[in-house]
Amino acid sequence: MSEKVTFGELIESIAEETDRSKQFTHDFLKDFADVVNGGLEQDGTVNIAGFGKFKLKRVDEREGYNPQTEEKITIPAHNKIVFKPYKDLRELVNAPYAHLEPELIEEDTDEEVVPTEEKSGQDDFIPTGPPTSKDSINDEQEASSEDEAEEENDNGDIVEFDGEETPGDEDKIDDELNEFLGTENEPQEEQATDEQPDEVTEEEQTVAKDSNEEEQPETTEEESRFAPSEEEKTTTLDGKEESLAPAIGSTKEDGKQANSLPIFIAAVFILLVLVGGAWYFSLFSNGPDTSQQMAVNETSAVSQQADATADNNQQSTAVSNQDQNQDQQEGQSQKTQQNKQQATNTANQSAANSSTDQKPDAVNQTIEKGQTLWSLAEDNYGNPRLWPWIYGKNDALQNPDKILAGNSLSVPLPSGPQNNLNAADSVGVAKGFIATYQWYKGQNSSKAKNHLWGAKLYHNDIRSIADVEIDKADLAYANRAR
Amino acid sequence: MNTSDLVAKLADNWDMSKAETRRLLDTIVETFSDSLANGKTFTIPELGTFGSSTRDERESYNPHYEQYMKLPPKRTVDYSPSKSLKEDLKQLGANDE
Repeated sequence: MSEKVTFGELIESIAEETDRSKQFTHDFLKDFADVVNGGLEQDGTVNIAGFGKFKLKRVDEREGYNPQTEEKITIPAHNKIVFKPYKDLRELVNAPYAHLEPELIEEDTDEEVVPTEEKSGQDDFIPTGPPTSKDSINDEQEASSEDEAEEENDNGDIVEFDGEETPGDEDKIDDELNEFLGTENEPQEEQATDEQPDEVTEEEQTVAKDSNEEEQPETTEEESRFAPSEEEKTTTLDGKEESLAPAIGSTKEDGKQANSLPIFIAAVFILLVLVGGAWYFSLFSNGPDTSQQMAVNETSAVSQQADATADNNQQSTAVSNQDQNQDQQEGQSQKTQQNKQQATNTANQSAANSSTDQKPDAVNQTIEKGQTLWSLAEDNYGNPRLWPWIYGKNDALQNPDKILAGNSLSVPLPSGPQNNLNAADSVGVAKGFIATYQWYKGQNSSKAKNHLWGAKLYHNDIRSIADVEIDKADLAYANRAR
Repeated sequence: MNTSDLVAKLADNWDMSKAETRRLLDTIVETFSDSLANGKTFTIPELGTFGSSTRDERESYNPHYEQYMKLPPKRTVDYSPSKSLKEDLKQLGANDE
């Protein structure tokens, strides 16, 4: 690494570049060294622009010992010369490693933390840990068969359709959810049905028709015509679910392998979203069907889970599904923020879960009375001084000193480890500061340059990211930061 | 002493304009920097030896994040003053006391 360049070679290259004689360059360099020495003698420091700073440093008298004779000696006070390279030179020399950044040292326990979080997130359904998810499926099956049994007592002939009503009901719920949550749900639902094998989808379609016809009881002829085939299908469905249950068990056994963990997480997400949606929906409709719908929704969620876990090929779709679920969750939390605590619960859950995966870049928040950008930044980042970041992300905002309650703001989230900023976030913050700078500059406010100073703190090269005219005096002021 | 003082003095010594001297000095500094960036070591008589060395990757506690961080390797500039300069300035310190 440390290849040597002789003084002669150095002089040669300088002489070549400056079109001067070697002799002159040699003498000039010697004189340069002399002048530097003189400067050090004179006032203790010499700064050379673009290179570095030579400085005399006082070292106090201290005790030492001669390692050869092991005699104690006193080292007298003296000066030592230190050279501190300027940033330009430091960066130039460090260029081969410039792309590396310090990173957190991960602890070994991290992987184990993930499942426990999930467990706590959905105690209702998996009380004691991963193996029980299989049990819960069995529970659902039992529950549905119990339902069937009950209905059999009530309605007699219609029994066969009970199991089959589930998809129809599920559609109904999902439709209503869709109406409530907006259209985001639709593609997800489609995908969910696509995920299931063709056999089932066909079944669902026929069943959906059937259940519609069946809801207004008609001639028994038709019923009897459908009944046997439906029964067969019920058994195939049940059989299928049973065959899927062991599959889940086996993946559980493999669960320690990192490979199946994402699938499990995806499945849990789907479960959470569907159950959360059903619960939320149940608060608004007090109809007698609610509990049944809940159960139905659970079974559908479980069968979805089974599909997702059983079929490894569908991993990718499961993942994309998860993304959509996240979107959906965001939308959900946004809509319900004003009234419902539970929305914040799901939001927290999604935040907790997604911190292990990928985080959303930003969340939408509705401004409440008394809130300021300052307080929003403090709540979200723990550092109120980051408020220009929010301002920078919301182009609709004009005056950073004035936000209106009831309006919605997109609040960017830090994506570095431990809720810290990563490089991209820092650029975002710097851009936010430049946006506030621009506004205050437009108002001829003396605050403006302070915001440019802030931008400089978060990004070194302001001019490269700013698309606005920057006052030279302000830039000079800002460049003093860092 | 800052760069303009240095330039003024050199210009005076060599009977050149300050602008010319500044250009010359910039070229010299640039050559130094380039050599260092390419991992070269060089010695200026009466001044000292410049070189670069690599600091290994290490773990360190970051008090702000309250967590241990892995710091990447980096290359830094080394400087060791020439013996004559060292002796000269050592004396200077002793005289001041």
